Amino acid sequence: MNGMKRLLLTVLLLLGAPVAAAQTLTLHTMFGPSPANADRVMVSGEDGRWREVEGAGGVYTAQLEGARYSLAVTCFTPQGPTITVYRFLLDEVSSLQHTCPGQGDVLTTPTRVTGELRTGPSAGRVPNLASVYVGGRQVYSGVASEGATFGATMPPSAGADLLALDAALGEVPGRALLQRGADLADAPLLLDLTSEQALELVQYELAVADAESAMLENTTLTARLVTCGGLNAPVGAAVPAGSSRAAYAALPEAVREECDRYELTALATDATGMTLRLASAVLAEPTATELVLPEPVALPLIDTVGTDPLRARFTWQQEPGVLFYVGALTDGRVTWNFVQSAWLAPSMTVAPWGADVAAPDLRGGEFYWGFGAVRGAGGVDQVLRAYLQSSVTGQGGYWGPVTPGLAFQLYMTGGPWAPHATELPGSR
Amino acid sequence: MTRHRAHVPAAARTIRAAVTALLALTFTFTASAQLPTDSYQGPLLPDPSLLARRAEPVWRDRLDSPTAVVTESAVVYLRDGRLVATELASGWQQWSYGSGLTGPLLQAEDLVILADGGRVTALDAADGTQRWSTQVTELPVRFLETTGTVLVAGSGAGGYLVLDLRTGAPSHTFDVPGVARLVHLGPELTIFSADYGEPNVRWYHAYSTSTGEELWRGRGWLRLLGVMDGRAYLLNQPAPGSTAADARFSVSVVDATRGTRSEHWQYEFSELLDAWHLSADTSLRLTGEALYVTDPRGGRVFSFPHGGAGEPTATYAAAGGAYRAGPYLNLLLFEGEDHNLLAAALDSGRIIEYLFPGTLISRLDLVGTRAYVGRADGTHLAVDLTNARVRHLLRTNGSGFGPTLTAGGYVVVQGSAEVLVLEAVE
Repeated sequence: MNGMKRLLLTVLLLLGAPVAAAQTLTLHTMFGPSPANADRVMVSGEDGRWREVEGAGGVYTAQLEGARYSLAVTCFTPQGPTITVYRFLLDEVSSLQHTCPGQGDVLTTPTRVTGELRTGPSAGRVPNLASVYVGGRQVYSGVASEGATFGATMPPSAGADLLALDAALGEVPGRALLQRGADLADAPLLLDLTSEQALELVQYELAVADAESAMLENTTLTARLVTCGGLNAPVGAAVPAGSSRAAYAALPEAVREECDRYELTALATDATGMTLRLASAVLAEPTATELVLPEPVALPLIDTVGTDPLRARFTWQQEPGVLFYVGALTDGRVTWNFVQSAWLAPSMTVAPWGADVAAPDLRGGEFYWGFGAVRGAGGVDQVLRAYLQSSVTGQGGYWGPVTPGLAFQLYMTGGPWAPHATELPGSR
Repeated sequence: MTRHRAHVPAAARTIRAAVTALLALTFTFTASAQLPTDSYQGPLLPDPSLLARRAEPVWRDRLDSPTAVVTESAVVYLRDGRLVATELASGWQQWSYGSGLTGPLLQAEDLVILADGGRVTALDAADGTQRWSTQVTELPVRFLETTGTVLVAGSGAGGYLVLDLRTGAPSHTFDVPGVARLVHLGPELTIFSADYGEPNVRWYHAYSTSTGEELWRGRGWLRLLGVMDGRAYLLNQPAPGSTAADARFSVSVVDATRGTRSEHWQYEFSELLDAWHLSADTSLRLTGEALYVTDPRGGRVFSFPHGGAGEPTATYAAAGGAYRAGPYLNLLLFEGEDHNLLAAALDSGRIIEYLFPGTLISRLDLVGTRAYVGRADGTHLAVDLTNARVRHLLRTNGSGFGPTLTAGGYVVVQGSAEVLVLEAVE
């Protein structure tokens, strides 16, 4: 199911800030890292009729009518088509970015990064740990022994930032070597953490509030340094699960740059793993930070099942601040993703909200699904990660007709659902 | 519809009943005997329409043979023996010409050149009006080629005639003896391979393109690899009686205008390749930088430097695949064992998968940064070489494909019996 969540996270996209009374939607599509048209983009208004939208260079302008609309973006991959359906109110979103899974320039030779680490002696009997990151990729992690070598093949990355860290076991990194826009072509690299260029990192505290909660026994605290040069490296101390306080390392003020960011996260789960609470903060200037875990978004319930086409209705208790419901369904051939505005709830008097999932191409065999609600109060990255707060995943199957008039039967397993709706194999 | 039961004579009914009983017995006996069975399950390939966007042709039409040419706005092809020009955008016929035609045809400047028996006719590509018509030979014309304002036409026997492309006026002939094939046509030099005289001896004749003067002739070569910078490169026949012939080969570098050998490049594979010299499937590609040579099966491509070498500088292979094309964009293209399209990068040898497994590749065209692939099941696919993105899948009624053509914003797909025009996908 992690694969399903990753799949969802990759298709959940930059959702523009709501603006008033938008009559057009600008869709930006990418193929991997490059702007490119999707394989098909279709839009439908309240009349339910779909029409294709033409794009150029990965930019589509869809004219919208009615109070709400649906947008379907199809991307073909060697694993089969992925169809993502967005449903929003007319004036809710003005621009949208969608990325089709794909490679970059396959004609360019990957970069081979090799190098040698020089570290000082360890303070105690236990050796220090060293790690090296280029962009978002870790190219070395191991004992900080003198003369340790590393090598990795990476996608072509011109001018990515490089960071080497030296940390005592269980401690926050103390020394670092940072090369912004590193020239990786001049191999091998010599990373000398004992040289004058090495940085003494500054420590700050990261804590999580609600210390009385039993869930804190399953809390994870993480901190990452993200730079404009594409560096994304963990800079937090490795503390035991359940710790409500930890330290993280930051660059000294003299070498900080305007777009450096520190992403601090606290994630707590209950004993079953079904309830997840996540809080995060993105800091331009590092400082001691206490994160407050939100109450979890209600988990979805499956309260109805349909037949032809295959339909499942997922129901959440409507909650303020929940902006998007997301889900995916795949039988291994065709993948359907759904992103729907919570404001499409039918009315205030009917508390539950249902997401109709119709997948007419799914016929026979097993399928996997995952659905959740996203609390979208923060930035886009937080929205994506917050998907974890209330998602449920599972596995289902359906098979051929067993009684006249019944085209398909459906069963699902996974976490929680309305028991009366579950159809076990052969129960009809 | 009402069905009437046919009258069946009594004897026939009896026989039929007996046969039925016998068959029943046979099946009963067979079932009880449990004869051993055997089976084979081949690969279960996914439906290709799940892996690429299905393209719908703007229009499609019957085609006699995949010999179409494209003009700025139309595709010109033979249908029921008649040459027709059909507008790319609309499918409307712009003009048509003749009857009982079989080609060949080609497009040059603003003309469509057509061979009809031993006569060559030039038509205005825009409206189909005849510009000129010239009798070339008594035999059917099989070869038509142009360079600059020169048109070379011939049947392959009895020499070739050179015409002025604009007027159709004959200017001179290439008096090639025997059965000859045009292997190089340039503004200054024309080379034919010809078979005559002793069996299994192939001659090469070089002429001045502009005057028809024979510049030189020679033998002892297996094939012409190319003409570059005033020099012709020819693969030598192996030395008679050489026991190690299949472990080495050599190339003669010949002054293109005088025919004298200026260099002799000797190469060794550093291994024995059975029947390498005899194999007609061996491919050789000479570029400005290197010579690429396949083994007889095409599974490996060896790279050699100019000038000769004791061993290959690099060997490329793609997981049991067979070489199909290249170098192109610094790639060698292979058809994998599963009939997927693979490429080996010349700089590193790394393998790039461009197309998912499927049925046999029957056609591969490389145009710009796009590969067009026709498969034996009648599907035609386009894939971008820069990012390995499949751009369309087209289902046709045929199984073989001719050259894929592009014009403006359209792609012309030639199946074995139909022509299909698609809008090019960005």
